[in-house]
Amino acid sequence: MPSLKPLKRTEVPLWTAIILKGQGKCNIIAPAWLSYSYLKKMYDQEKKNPEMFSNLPWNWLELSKILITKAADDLADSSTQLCSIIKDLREIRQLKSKRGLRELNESNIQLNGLSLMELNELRPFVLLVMGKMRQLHDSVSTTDDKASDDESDHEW
Amino acid sequence: MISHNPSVSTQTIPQQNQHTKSKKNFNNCNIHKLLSKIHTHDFFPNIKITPVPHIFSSLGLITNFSPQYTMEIDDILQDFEQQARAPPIKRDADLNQQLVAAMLNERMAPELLPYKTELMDRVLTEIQQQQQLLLDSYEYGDSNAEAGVISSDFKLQLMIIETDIERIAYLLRLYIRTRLAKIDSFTIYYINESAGEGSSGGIALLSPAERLYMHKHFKILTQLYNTSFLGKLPSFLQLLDDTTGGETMIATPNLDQPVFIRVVCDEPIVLTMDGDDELTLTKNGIYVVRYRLIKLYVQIGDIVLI
Amino acid sequence: MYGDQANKLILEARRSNNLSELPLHQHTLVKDIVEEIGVLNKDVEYLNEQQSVEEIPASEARVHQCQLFVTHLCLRRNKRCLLAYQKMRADKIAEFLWLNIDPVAGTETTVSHLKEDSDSPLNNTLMSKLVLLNLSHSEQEYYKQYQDLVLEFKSGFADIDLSGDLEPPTDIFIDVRVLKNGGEVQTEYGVFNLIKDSQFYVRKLDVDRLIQQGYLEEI
Repeated sequence: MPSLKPLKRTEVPLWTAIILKGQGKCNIIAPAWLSYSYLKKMYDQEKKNPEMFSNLPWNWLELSKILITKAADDLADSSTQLCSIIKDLREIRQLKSKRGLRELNESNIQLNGLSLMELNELRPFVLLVMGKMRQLHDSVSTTDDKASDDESDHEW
Repeated sequence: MISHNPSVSTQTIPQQNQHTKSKKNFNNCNIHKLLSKIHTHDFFPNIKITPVPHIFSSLGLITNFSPQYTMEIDDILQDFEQQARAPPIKRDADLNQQLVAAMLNERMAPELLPYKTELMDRVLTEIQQQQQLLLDSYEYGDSNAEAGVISSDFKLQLMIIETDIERIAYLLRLYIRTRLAKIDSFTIYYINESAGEGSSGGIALLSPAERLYMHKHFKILTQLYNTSFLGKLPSFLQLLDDTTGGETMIATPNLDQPVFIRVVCDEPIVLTMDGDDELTLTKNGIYVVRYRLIKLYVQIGDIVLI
Repeated sequence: MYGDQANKLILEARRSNNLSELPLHQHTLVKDIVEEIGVLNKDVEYLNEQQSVEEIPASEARVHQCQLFVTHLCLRRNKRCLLAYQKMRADKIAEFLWLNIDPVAGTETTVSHLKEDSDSPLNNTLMSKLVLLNLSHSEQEYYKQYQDLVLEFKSGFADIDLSGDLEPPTDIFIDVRVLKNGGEVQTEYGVFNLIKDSQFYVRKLDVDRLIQQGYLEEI
C-alpha cells in the first residue's frame, strides 16, 4: 500500500477509501463517468440505439450507490440529480435486456454490455428457463429411444 | 444459488511500482501525474483520493509509522528514496485478484475445480504475516500508550490492516466452504474421481486436508446409515453406490448446467455446439453457455465464471 | 398400502427441512419401514422359489414376473426414502456444527423453540438450534464424530475462522443491541455486560458468536 500524504492524489482500494472518508481523512476523486453530463450522454445513446448497450463500467451501479451514500460531498453533481439519471438509465437498460431475453434458447445466449448487477438480476430467470428448455430439448431428442424402451417394457 | 455480491469484494492492489518509478523519473516529471495514474482492473477499480491536510498526519500504511508530516517537496523526495530502499511489506499485485477469481470460479462452477495449492499457500502465509504484524503493532501500541504518543492515526492504521485481514479471511472462507459443500454433495463421485490422486503428482483435485475430510466424513455417514437402518436390511439392499436399480445412487455434478462467463483471453474461442453449430466467443464478451463446453477454458484461465 | 409409511417419512423430512431446528427422530416410523422391507423381501424370496420349483404356464409366469418386479421397486423405493430422510437429518446436523452455537442439551420442549423462532423473521429455514435429545442414538454418535472432524479440518487453518460469517464483511466495528440478558463479556477492547435492550459499539469479530447465538443483533 502506498503511504499517503496530504493533498496528494493516491490510488487506494475502494474499501480503504471509504474507511478514510468515514473518518474525514480524505476526499474521494469521483470517477469521470459519475457525473450528470456523462450519464445523460449515455442515456441519450441508449435511446438512439435500441439494439445496443452503452458503455458503462462493470460495477457502475454498485460504485455509484456506494459513492453517493458515502461520499456525496465529493461528487460534482447533486445526488438527487445523479440518482434520477441513474434510475432512468437503469430502466431503459432493463427494458432492453428483457426484450433481449426473447432470444433465450437452450444452448447459449450472449449478454455483452451488461454490468455485473444487471446480470445478477437476470441470472435466476435465465438459468431456470435455460434449464427447462434443455430438459425439453433433451426429451425431444431422446423420444425415439424412449419409445422403443416402452415397447420392450410392454412385451416383458 | 447465492450469487456473489460484488459490491463488497474489492481488493487491495498495492501500487508497488510507483515509488521506484517515481524515483527514477522525478527530475523531469510531475509527481502528481505519476501517482494518479489510473489502474483499471477487472473487479473493482481502485479509487483516487486526496488525503485532507492538517487533520491528516502521515498515514504510512502497514509499516511506515512516520511522525507528523509537513508538506515539503524535500520530504516527499526523501520519502521516495526511503521507500525505494526499503519497500513496505507488499502484496503481490494480483494475489487478491487471483483469490477473488478463484473463489468466484469455484462458487459458480457446478463441479469441484482443482485445488489452487500454490495460491492458497501464498495467501495463507500472507494472512499469517499480517496477523503477526497486527499483534506486534498492538504490543507497540500498548507499550507506548502511557507515553501518550499513540495518535488516532495509528489506531486507524491498525483498523485498516484488520479490515484487510477480515476481507481476505472472508474470501478464503467462502472458497474453502464452497469446496467442502461440493465434496459433501458428491462424495462417492469424488472418492472415485480422486482415487489415483495424491501419490502420482500432477494437478490434484483435492488438497490433502480435503481428501482426509472427504473420506472421514463418508465413513461416519456410512456408519450412521448402517446403525440406523441399513444394517437391518437384506444384504442386497445394503449398498450405497448401487447402480442396478434402474437409477444410479451416485450423485454427480451436472456439467450441463448453464453458467455465466466472461472471456478474458485475447484470441477468440470457438465452441462446437450440439448441432455442429459453432459459437465464437470474443474477448470481454459475456455469455451464458453450458458448463461442459467451457470447462477446460476455465481451468487454463481463458474464461472466468461470473 | 406398501410405501405409505415411507411417504409419511418423506413428508416429515420435507417439513423438517423448513424448520430452523431438527424435530424428534421418527424412530417408530423408521422401524416400521424396516419391517415392511423385511416382509417385502420374504415375498421376493417366495416368488423366486415358486418360479424355480413349479412348472407354470407362460401367461402366469408373466404375472409372476410382474409381481416380482413391482416388489423390487417397492423395496428400493423404501430404501431410498429411508436414506433421504437420514441424509436430510445428517445434513442439518452438519450444518449446525459449522455454526458457532452450542446445542441445547436439556429437556426444553420443542414447541417453545418454535415460538421463539417465529418471532425472528430472519432466515427461519436456517439451522439455529439443535436439541440433542431429538437425535437418535446413532445421530448423536454422528454428531460427535462430525464435530471432531470439523475441528480437525478447521485446525488446519489457524488464522481464519472457517465458521465465521459467510456474508461479506463490512465494518470491523458495529453497533449492536442486546436481545437477551447474559453475563459479562470480555473482549480485547474491554468488558461489557449483556443487559437486555442496551446498545454497544463493539468489534464485530468479538461478538460474531453472540450474534449467532441470538444474544445480540446488529443495528
